[in-house]
Amino acid sequence: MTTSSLIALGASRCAALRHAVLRGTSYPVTSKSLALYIALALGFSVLGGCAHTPPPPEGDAGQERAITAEAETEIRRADTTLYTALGGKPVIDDVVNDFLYRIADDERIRHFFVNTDIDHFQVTFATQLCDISNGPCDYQGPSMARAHQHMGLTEVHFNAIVEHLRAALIEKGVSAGPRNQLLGRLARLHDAVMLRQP
Amino acid sequence: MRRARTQARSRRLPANQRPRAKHRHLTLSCIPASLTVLVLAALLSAPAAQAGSRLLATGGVTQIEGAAGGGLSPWAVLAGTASDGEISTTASITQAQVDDYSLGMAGVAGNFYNRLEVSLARQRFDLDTLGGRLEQDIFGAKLRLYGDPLYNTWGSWSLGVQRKRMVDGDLANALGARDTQGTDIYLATSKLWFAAMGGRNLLTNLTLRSTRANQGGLLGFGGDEKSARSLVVEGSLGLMLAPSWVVGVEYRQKPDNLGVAAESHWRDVYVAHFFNKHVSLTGAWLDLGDIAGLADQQGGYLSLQVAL
Ligand code: HEM
Ligand code: HEM
Repeated sequence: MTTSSLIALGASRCAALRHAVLRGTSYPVTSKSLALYIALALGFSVLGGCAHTPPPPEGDAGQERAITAEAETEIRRADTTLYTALGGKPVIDDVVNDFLYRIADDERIRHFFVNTDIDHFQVTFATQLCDISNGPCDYQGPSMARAHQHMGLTEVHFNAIVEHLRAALIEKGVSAGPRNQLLGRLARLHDAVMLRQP
Repeated sequence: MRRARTQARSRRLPANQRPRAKHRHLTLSCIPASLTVLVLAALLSAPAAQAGSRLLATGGVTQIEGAAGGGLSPWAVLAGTASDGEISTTASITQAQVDDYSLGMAGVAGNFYNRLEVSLARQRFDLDTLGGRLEQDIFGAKLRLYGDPLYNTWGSWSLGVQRKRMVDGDLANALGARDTQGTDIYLATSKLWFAAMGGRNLLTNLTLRSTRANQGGLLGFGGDEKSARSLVVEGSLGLMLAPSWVVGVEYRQKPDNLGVAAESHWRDVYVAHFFNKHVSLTGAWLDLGDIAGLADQQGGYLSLQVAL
């Protein structure tokens, strides 16, 4: 078909339609579409509203305290049933055990742990998970920034840890809800863990 | 699926006998042979081999203009799963079929250090009812400005450009388009909300685009009704429903520059499946509204992506 017949067809089909439906509705950023944009943006900011405000810029130690404090208050504010939903101590211990095997199998990250007392790490990490999921534990070890300082961690390593933990949670039968909630809480520790990397 | 792939492969073997530009519908035979082989290799390879270290699916899929995103809209995430110090590449083919048109797209993208994405795409738009074919090449670049969709409160923010050039602009000119090439500029943000809906993760994307393109550029740039740039909004949601499955909706606002060919906003509902870090398949139901004078174009969309 030729160009002119296309246009003819287009024009005839269009004329009626444009008047009936399209006039005034398909212009970008009309009041209607603007409303949609505002609604979307509002949706964003409401969702964002439950997240924290940026930490005050007061140096490394201050920043660390701020990040930790803010992560903790946020976690405390959340519900107290995550620990139970995860399956309590037996499941967390299983998950951590499985997680350690996955780390040991991953040459991208296993070298970080060569000088680590794995039994100690297993206990503190499990305590951390219990604490962060509002379980009956109190993690008293070093802050996340201190525990990982100057290790030379990159996003690659952090992603690997998240991926292994996710796989371990799936392997041990933790369902999507509590699994994603726990991962979401750990994701918030990202800035603290990565604070003092060279 | 498997049969289609084998067919596509065997059909290509006598390279010089390949039916060229003859058939009006883009079929799987348009896949470069290399892609077919890549898919097979990727499906068979060990799940984690060679892929970048970002989590499964965090590069989204390939949108219709070649950038990492959903089906219609580019997202702030960059192609593939490359992270610090890593490079990943993706190749994809897409076929969309609505009432009176079909659109085929083949594209490649590279992601450097999860900072810069560069993409190249060719679109082929067949006017099944009216007759004729329109083609356009799109060169894209996307720079991640800030953040991470998982680890940052404010998600990830990226700035992108899409340089588009029509292969043959006669039809667009005849419809009243001012130019046959143009550049879109967009700002996109993506954020993942853990356990947001029924315990599932929800991905939200918002894209603000400055463009003169008519039907994404397939009908040229600017027109008799408006020649200047328009600021349009695109949004999408993706819910991670079950391991390796995501479902979502998208909305893409469009300018309306041509007097003779009213243009509508685009919408779709999609399902994507990630076989592993290398291969994903996305299906969608499209509602593209009016295109070049034909009303109410709806239909299906299928897109295959291979990532290395
Ligand atoms: C959300 C992410 C992370 C959490 C919640 C976490 C938690 C912990 C905890 C609780 C400890 C024990 C601290 C102590 O008692 O001394 C620890 C130590 C350690 N973490 Fe992490 N960690 C995270 C990310 C990472 C990453 C990405 C790596 C590297 C791949 C890593 C490597 C280590 C190592 C090697 C130690 C032992 C340090 C030593 O030998 O004393 N961690 N981590
Ligand atoms: C089209 C895009 C995407 C698809 C198809 C997809 C798919 C999936 C699927 C199927 C899961 C597993 C859910 C489960 O185990 O219950 C998952 C998990 C996850 N996704 Fe996505 N995803 C996409 C985009 C993203 C993006 C852009 C991000 C972040 C940038 C992201 C972050 C995550 C995270 C952190 C998890 C782990 C939590 C979990 O176990 O569910 N995803 N994704």
